[in-house]
Amino acid sequence: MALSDELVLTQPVENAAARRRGRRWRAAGYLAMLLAVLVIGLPVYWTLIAAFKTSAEIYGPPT
Amino acid sequence: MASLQQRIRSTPARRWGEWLLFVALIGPNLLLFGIFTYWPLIYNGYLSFVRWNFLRPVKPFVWFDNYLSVFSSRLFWEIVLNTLVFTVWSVGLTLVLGLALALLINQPLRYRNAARATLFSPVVMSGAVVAVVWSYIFDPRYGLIDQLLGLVGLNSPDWLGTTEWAMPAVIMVYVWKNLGYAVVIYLAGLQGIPRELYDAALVDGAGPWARFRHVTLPGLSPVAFFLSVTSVLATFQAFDIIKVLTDGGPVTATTTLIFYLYELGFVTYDAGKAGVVAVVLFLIMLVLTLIQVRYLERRVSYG
Repeated sequence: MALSDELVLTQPVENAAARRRGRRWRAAGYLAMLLAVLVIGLPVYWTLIAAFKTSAEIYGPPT
Repeated sequence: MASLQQRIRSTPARRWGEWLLFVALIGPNLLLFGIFTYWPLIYNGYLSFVRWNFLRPVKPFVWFDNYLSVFSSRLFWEIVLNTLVFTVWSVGLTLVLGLALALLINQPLRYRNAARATLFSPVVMSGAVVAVVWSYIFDPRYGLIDQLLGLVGLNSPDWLGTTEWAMPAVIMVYVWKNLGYAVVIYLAGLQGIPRELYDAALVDGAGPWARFRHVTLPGLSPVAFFLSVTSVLATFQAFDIIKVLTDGGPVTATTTLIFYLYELGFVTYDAGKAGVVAVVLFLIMLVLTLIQVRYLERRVSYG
């Protein structure tokens, strides 16, 4: 079997592996983005909702 | 003909006119800069050589007494160390995490614009508000961190009440507030790197790490240099978060030079020693910036 035939046969397998790897990286990217948004965004969200609370609600234990 | 034009251009009247235009354009700025920047700098230098409490009409000249008094105090060196720890950790974390987040949200992911807006939102918040919010989050009884740690069976340390945890807490809040700025600047840098360089690297068989190492990092070097200089200067002057979050405490665990300057000047009304600390702070920032310009700028590629 010529070298070029071998390349043609292995290419679909490699493409599928690359696609799987790509999907995994994409999922990891979304997870990291979600984590970053939560860490940065939660205190901002808390600040915004605190504007609609009474002092007792802010200073007291969370309900 | 050309020589005639040259002669017309270089007539004394024309040169005088150009000089007047130059003075008119630069003068107002120079005047304001002189009044509001250089004069306070010079006056502060003078204050560091006198004994004064802001009220007495006379300011006795004491030569280097204020300097000797400040430099011989153990507290001052502790505060210098606090300042260096605060600056190194804050700038280091901001630059590294900022780069990581910028690389992340530069990817073609959905909702990345919403993520960018969220990441930038703390930058536009007031430092005092941020500090108040985080003082609730750090609360060892009801705080958000205590509740999150409680989920995995851990207790929250008394972040703001112990000397071991107060500085990490202040650094965390400072980085949280300023990270978005670094992300936006890095993003601008990333989007300025020509796409063809990545394509060429791909053709040459470069993997993701090689592309990052040989295309992204050199392309980002001017931006990273700018960020490192401005972040160091801003961190040395960080005051609002420290004042509201810990008030320099517990004991002096989070007292930095700028906070010490404020205490000397506006709590104990010792203008001389406050002047000394301001001079020291100015010199530290000047030397650090010169070092950065001298050594970091060599590695910057503007090509």
